[in-house]
Amino acid sequence: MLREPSRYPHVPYPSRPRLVWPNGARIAVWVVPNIEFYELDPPTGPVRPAWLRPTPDVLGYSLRDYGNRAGIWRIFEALDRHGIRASVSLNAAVCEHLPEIVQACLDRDWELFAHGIYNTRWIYGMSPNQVREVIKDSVETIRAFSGKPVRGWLSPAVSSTEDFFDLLPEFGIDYTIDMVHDDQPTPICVKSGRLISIPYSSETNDIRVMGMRGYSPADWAKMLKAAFDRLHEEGEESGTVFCIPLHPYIVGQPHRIAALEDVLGHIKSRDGVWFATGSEIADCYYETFYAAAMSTAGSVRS
Amino acid sequence: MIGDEYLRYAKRGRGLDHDWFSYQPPAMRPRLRWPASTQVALWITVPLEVFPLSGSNAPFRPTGALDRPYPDFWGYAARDYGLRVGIFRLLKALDRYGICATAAVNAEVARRAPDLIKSLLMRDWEIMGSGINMATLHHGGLDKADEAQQISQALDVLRPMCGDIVGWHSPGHSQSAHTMELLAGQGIRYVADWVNDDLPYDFHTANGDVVAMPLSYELADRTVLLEHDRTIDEYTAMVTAAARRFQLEASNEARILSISVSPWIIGYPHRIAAFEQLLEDLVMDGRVWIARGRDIFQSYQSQMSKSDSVAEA
Repeated sequence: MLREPSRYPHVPYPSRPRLVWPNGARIAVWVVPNIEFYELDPPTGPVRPAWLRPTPDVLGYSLRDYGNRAGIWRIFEALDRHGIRASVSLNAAVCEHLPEIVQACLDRDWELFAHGIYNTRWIYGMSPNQVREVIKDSVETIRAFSGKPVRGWLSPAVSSTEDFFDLLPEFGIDYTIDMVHDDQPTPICVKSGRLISIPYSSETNDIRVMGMRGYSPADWAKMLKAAFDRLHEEGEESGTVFCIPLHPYIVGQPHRIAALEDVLGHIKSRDGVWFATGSEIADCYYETFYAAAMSTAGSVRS
Repeated sequence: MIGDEYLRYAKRGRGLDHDWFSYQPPAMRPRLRWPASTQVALWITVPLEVFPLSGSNAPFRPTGALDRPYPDFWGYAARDYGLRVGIFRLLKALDRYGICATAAVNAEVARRAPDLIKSLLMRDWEIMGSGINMATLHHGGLDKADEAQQISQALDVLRPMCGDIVGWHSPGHSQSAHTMELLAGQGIRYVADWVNDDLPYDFHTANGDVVAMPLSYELADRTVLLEHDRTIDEYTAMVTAAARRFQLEASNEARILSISVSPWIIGYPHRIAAFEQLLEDLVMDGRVWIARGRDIFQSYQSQMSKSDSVAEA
C-alpha cells in the first residue's frame, strides 16, 4: 500500500506565485450539485454493501430519490433566481434513466462533468483496464447526451485505486475534485498528460454537515458564509476558490432550500467575485498559472 | 480484484430501476387541489410504539430503537414514558389547536392500552396500522408468507377495535420487496414509508395500486432531536422553514407538511411548550388544511378519478 498519495508536492501557501482571477476577481465561486442515481439492488460492493439495510433499503433509496423527484427542481429555481450556472457532478446513468433532469441542466448552459456510472458502483479493487472502462463509459455517455466535452471528474462515493489519477488524462479529463488538500487549484502529478485539482469541500458539504451530522440549515449557511468571507478576504493576496457542494436530496428539502438562497444572496452582494464553472476555472489556471506552478514544484515523482 | 460483472448494469435505461412507480417530478403531474381555501395540508402522524426489551435490532436498528446492552430498562422506560405521560400532554396540545392527527399504532400498543385507542377514536383521530412492535421489522430477509402473517396479525388486533384501517406505516420506514403487495392484499390503501416525494403517488403491486403518501423522515422528531441531537428550537425552526417554503409553492400546487411527532420525544415537559408555539404558528389564520392521512388520500383518489374512494369513517 502507498504511504502517501504522492500526487502533489508540498508547496506551502505563502511561497506560491500570486493568482489573480479574470477581471481582477479575488475569489472564484463554483456551485457543484451532485446529480446521482442510486440503484435499488446493486451488486455488493468491493468494500461494503451499498445499502445499510437489507434490499430493498426503502428509507435509503427513497430519501435519495427525493433529490431527483423534488429537490433538484428547487435547486434549479434557486440558481436561476440568482443567475448562477452550476457545474454538475453527474452519474452518467442519469442521462439514460432521467434525461429530463440532464436536459434541464443543458437548458441552463450548466457544465456536466463525470461522477462515475451510478453512486452505488465504486472504483475499488479494479484493474487499470476496468477503471479505464468506467471512465470511458462515464465520459462518453455524458458527451453523447450533451454534445460537449467532459473535462472534470469526481469519483462515485470518492472511491479510488492507487493508479486511478494516471488514467484520467487518457480520456480528456483536465481536472479532478477528488482531493481537498488546498484552497487553490494545484497540479496533480500523473504519468502522462496533465491534470489539476480544483478545490471542492468535504467540510462544508451539505451531506456531511446537514445529512450526516444533522446541523440545522441556519448553521450550515453560517458556516458557508464564514468560509466565503475568509476566502474572499484572503483572495486579495492571492486568488482563492470557494466551492458549494450540493446534494439535491439534502439541500433540496423544503426546510433547507432557503439556507442555500441565503448563502447565494450573501455572495452576490460582494464585489470581486468570479462565478465560474469547473472548466472555466481550469482554463484560466492552465493558461496563466499552471506552467509557473509546475516549475516551482518540480516533480514529486522521480 | 472485482469481477467484470461489477461493470455490467442490467437496469440501465429509461425510467427508474423497478416497476413499482414511474419517475414523475411533481411539476410534471396533474395539479392537485385540496378541498380547502389553503393548499398546504398539515398532516400530523403520532407513532404509538412498543420497543421490546428483548428486541434484537436485527437486521438493522431502526431510528429511535433501544441502543444499550440487554436488559436496557433505561431505554425501554424512556420510550414507555410516551404511552404513560407524553401522549396525554401531546393530546392536550393538539386538542387546543383543534388538530385531529393520525396515530401509527403498533398492534402491541392497542392490546396493552385499548382505552387510549378508544379516546383517540372519540376525538376523530385516524388509526393507521404500524406493525406489531418496533422489533418486528419488515425487511428483505423475510419469507413472504411469514411477512403476510406479520401484517395480518397486526391488522387483526387493530381492525376489531378501530373499524376500517386504510393507512399503514412500517416500523422504521422499512419494507421487503413484497410489503406493498401484501398490504394491498389485506385492504391497505395508502402507505407512508417511502420518503421520495412531497405528494401522494400511485405504487403498483400485483394486488392492485396502493398510494404512497409522504411522511417526512428528515423532519421527524426522532431524526432531528435524537439522531442529530438538535435542540427543540432548532427543530421548530426547521419545521417553520418547511411550512414557509410550502406556502410559497402552494400558489402553484398542493403541498403536504407531513411531520411525525413521538409522545416519548416531543411529549417531554421541556419540549412541549415550543411545540405548542409551533402549532399555533402553523395553524394561525387558517394557513393550513388540517388533515388526517385518510382525508388526503381520499382527496387524492377522487382527483385521480378513482371510483373506489374510501367511505368517510
